[in-house]
Amino acid sequence: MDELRRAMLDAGAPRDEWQADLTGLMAAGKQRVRKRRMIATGIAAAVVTVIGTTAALAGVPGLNKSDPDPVKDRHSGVYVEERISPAEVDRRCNIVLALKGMKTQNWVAGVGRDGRAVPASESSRTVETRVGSLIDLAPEGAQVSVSTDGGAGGSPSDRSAECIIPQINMLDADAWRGGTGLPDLDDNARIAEVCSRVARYDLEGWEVLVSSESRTTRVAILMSDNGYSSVCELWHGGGRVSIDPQPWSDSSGQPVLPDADSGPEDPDRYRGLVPICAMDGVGMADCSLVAVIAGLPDGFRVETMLPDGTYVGAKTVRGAVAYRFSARENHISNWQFPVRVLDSRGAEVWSGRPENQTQPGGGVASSEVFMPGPATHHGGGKRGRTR
Amino acid sequence: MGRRDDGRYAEFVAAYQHRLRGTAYLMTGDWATAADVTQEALIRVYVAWPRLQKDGAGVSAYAHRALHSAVVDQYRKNSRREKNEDRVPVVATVADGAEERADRDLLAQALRALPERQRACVVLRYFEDLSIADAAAALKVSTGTVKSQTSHGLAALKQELARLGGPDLVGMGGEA
Repeated sequence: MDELRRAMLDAGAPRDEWQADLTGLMAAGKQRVRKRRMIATGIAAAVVTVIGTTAALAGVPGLNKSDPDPVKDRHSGVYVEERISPAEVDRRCNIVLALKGMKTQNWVAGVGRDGRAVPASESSRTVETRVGSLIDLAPEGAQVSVSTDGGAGGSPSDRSAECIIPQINMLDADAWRGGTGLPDLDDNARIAEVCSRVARYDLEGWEVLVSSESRTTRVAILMSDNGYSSVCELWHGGGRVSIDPQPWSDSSGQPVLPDADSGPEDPDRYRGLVPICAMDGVGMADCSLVAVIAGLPDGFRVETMLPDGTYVGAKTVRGAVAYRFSARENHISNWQFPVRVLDSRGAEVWSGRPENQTQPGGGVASSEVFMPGPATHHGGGKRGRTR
Repeated sequence: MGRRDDGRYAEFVAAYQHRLRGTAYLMTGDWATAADVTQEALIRVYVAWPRLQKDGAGVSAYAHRALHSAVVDQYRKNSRREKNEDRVPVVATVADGAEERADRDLLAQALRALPERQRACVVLRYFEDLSIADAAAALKVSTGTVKSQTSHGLAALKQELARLGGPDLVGMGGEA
């Protein structure tokens, strides 16, 4: 019988990369649940009053097969980690980069022992394969890092390209078709749509918790139904999206707090709550604080003190907060931008001078575009990344 | 609270989808149909999810029941076509040296020749590795029925494999 069992396992083993359409499953499931509720409502109405029977059943939209689902039901609000093969990472990213006009190279995500870019499937280092992750690729053969075996060495290549590993059904998404502008700050559906297209990852079922804007950019924090967050920054014709691989809440919806958390006053919650600034080259900096602070109730307020003593900030929604402010470039290097957290009545629950993100040359981390602000997570791990 | 735990459901789908589709394939003999049937079963699981979580009932057992039910529905839908297909002798050929592939295709083909209930018992017992009690629960039949149907199914499978010129995978063992 072992032989039969082996043969059966072999015969029933998957031979392709088929995956159940989770979004479709849940949308269809929800539709059936709605239909059942509608039918139940109709039956209840019939029992209560005979007169109402006709009207109750005639008005049941779920009974009509052509009744369309609400738009949101076509998009999953649940984050499910999906990993693909290293070769598939290269393949998908090359498609995306080609669509961005970068098709003259064979872009690869792997690094060989000699520090040269190689296909991800041949990499001597672990390659990120999580769909939705932001990764760097380089032209095949380019020197990307110093050799690990003391051999060839060389300067790291600056010829790299970023790619958010796309979902297979989002490969040809175009964020800026028709030359449309940045979404309005109060248009959450449009923000989620553009972020999805930039990431080539469907975030349209996620909730936009907070957003902020400057003259040229929008930034938003989206959260899935199961507590995963995504920071999305958009600028004219471009954008960057990151999806945190760790959830902010557990399966029962409770926030995942740092070890030995003692409440909103616990400083561990705010470690790394740092504004990030981008110089505009003419003496000013565009700064932002974008963070999720696990366990912070809605309606709390996070504020940054500016050099003139005034505060700028925003309220929290499910622990998420996002705001922007301008600062003089010369303040960036000598002002620590103290942060305070106020409860819903305006009482201060925490204040501090977070360590600024300094680069080797000194000063606050800066780049052409800002990077999502770091925040406390799982005992203080920093979010976001700096170039 | 009162929210549907979509995260857990998504985890369940990720963990069980391939197993369920494999079962569906062995029951239907067609991968595309198997995918449809699996999706249908998973939708039924989604609808029942809050109850399954609340009762602490076996989700996988329910999924098997839903899958079998979806397969039966599929049979009914396609009964006319299937009857015609059953009368067409299909001989597996060893094309382009893929002997292994031919063997597993032969097994799938031989399974198709079994009556529906026997096939379900054999697949649940030997592919899903369910106990007699679990298979009985999945099929909503008695354990005695599972034993007898599996035994008859194995005998028929052995005969069918021999007829198709396939390997003797069943041996002489019977269903305990």
